[in-house]
Amino acid sequence: MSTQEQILEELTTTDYKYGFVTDIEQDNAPKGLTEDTVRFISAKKEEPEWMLEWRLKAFRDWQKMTEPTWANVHYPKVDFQDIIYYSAPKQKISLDSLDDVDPELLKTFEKLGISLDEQKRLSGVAVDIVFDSVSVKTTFQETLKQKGIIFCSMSEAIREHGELVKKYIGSVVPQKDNFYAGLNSAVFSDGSFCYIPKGVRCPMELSTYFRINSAGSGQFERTLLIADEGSYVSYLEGCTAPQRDENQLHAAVVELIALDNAEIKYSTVQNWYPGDKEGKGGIYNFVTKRGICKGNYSKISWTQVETGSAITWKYPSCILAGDNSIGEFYSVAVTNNMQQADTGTKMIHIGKNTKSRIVSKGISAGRSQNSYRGLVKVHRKAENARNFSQCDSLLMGDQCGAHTFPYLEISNNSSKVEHEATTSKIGEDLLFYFQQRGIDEETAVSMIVNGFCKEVMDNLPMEFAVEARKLLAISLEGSVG
Amino acid sequence: MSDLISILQENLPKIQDENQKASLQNAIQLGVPSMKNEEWKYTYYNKILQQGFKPVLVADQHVNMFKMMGSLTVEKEFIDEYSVSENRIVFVNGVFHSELSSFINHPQINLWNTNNVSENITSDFLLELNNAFASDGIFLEIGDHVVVNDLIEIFYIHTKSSDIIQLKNKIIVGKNSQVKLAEYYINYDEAPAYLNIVTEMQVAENAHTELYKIQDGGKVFNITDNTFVKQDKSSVCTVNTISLTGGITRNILQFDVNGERAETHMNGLYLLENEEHVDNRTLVNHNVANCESNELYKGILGGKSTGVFNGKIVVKQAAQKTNAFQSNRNLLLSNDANIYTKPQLEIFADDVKCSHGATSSQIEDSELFYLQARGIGKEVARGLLVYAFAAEVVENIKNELLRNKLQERIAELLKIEL
Repeated sequence: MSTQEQILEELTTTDYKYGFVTDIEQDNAPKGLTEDTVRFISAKKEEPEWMLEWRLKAFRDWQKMTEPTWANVHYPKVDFQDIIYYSAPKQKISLDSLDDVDPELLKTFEKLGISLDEQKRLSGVAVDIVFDSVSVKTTFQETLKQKGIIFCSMSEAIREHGELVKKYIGSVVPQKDNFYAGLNSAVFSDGSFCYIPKGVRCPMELSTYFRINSAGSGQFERTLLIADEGSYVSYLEGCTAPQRDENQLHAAVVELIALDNAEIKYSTVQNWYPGDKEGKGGIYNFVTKRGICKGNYSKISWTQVETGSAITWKYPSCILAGDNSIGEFYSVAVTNNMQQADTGTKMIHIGKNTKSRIVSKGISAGRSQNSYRGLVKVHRKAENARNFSQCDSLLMGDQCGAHTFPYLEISNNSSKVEHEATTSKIGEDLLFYFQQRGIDEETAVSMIVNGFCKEVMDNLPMEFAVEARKLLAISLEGSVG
Repeated sequence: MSDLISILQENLPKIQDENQKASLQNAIQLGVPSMKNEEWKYTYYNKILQQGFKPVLVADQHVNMFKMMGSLTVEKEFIDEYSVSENRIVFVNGVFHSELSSFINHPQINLWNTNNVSENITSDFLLELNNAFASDGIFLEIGDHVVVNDLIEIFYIHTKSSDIIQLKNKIIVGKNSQVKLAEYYINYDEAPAYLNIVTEMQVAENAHTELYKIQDGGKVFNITDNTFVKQDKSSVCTVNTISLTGGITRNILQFDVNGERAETHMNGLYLLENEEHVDNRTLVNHNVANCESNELYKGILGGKSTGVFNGKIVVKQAAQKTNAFQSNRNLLLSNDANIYTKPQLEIFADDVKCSHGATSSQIEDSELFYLQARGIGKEVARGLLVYAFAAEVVENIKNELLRNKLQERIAELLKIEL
């Protein structure tokens, strides 16, 4: 190392130590994003060297990337230097029971209707709550441990199951994948990690609730889910966020890996704060979700109910690499007021006899814009691949828009690909039929909407389906008549 | 910088017309379209240019044409092979050919050959290139209340020339008039050809127009066809694009529906083999209420061919009660063929009925078995099924003579006997 480099390094390291003195007290990273921020986050999480290197590589690649502009959404440019990339609750976080959790925290959760108590009581749902980037509480871990299932926060996994994380992280969504995935790879704060060992059927629905709380802090979750041979897991993810005037950025990455004969069911109910009626505030949800059916006869199923966020940019995808693997995507996206959603899926058929099914239902109301963007790609070697896609849009009000951008790229002639889409409003005749039988307009609309989404709702786990139906009704309140 | 751009720059001082100059400058600025451009995602434009085509100015082109002209009899044979009518307009290497053309005399039908230079600046490279270099074209004006029963045929004949042939047509159809036009793209020898053509059509109130594009120019004929139609109220316009043989073909078809109760119909068939490439891009802008559009494009892809379909329907907020239907179906006959399809809807009005569908598959084994069980050989059965698949589009062609000719030609290409 030349003297010049030495001086340079000394300078940077000193500067970096100095810069953090006050920040450690506040438990917040300084605003803005530099290599030091990445080092800070990694140090805070007591991560091993390889993880830091991995993050730095991501950060360097990210610096060379530009924000994607192809999506059918419009919003003021995000200033990536005006974001706090790490913030942790003040409280120390090694708790044994719910009593140790800050009552203030519990109160907020209760307001949102997702109290831990309730969750605990409810049919054995293990909840790994991520509150402002740090895992606060992990329940039911004991039960899972007996089965050999690892379900913990990402930071814990990096420390304790380093080999597994190292093997799979970035294998489905590489650091360079896209702008937001790159950003996430560099600065992700926490998230969930799950490993289901060979032949184990996970006895309960695993679930995580995400929330954004402190103002101005972007949340960068990273979820990694591995289902080893012959295993099964159903994973639930739900998001709620309180009202806020400042736009908040959420750039998560979710990676799913299904090996031979494994099945992963991933369900999301997303209800980030969508902004007020004028479109002020609200969350920017730029998420990269992707699963790979690595093994033969594996299956990945995405189900999502998207009602919140000012802007949704999300394409849960399946790479069907194993022979006879199956990918499914069921989605309901509701936009109201000034919300914009550009969502859909990608089904990449590589293996033989692979099957995929896409059912997307878009509902737009108010002055919102709702787009479906999907890709079905059949590789040359994907013999007998089969795809069926259906994307329907329902328009409520004459100020909103519904758009579809399906891409079909087929290079194998033994494959069968079908795509169909329709757009319409709720027919007068339908409403008349209901009203004739003494059902008022609002109830009628709600019933019609529920019917419209039924195929997707049926794929949600029970407790989620109830919540999702309520959400639908709330999201569309007042948009009729 | 690519070769084409430098050739364009060399030509810049030679152009006199201000509009053409502006177009050329714009084209230079826009640059040759690359696959990074979403509009060109699946079509590699440079593959056409690599065959050595160069744009030429009108003055140079006339000289070239006379040099190339052989005896007229050969061209005549080609025309007779396709022609089903006595009204014909013939262009040879991008220049109007009066001896081969014949046209009805009607006081309300005006026809000129002119290069139709426009003042509009667009953001499309090919349109600007065309405007800057257009050598010729038709300006056809059909007055009000005129019914032309016979098909008007336009032939684009190409003989050995490495020029980019650029034509620009303008067709104006008056109120309550009816007209049927057919365009034929013919390359008459083995040398590669490239035609970049722009057609603008205005269909006035209650007028009925049918336009047929018969692209059967042989496997080395590259075409970039750009057709823009403006429709007024209660008008009906049908455009049939039949691509049978060709090199790289790109068809842009755009409708602006500006009057209520107008009907728009688009039919397309692409029958591809070897390394043929067809890129069909349609756009319908529904700007006003109570209109209807129907679209059916079918593709049969064999060999190492590539089919691209991009159908876009935009329903503006004012266009309530629009009915728009779109369908793209593809039959893959070979495992080396590729189809990229993107049916797209952009809807800003709520009281509409819009749908689109896209499919891709091969011939059903069960259907083959059905025919074989009835004593029909496998190859014939396959041919029949493919022919039946194509028939849905061909049957939409209203002109009987033309339809029969096409049916025969398709049967010939599929090697079956009717």
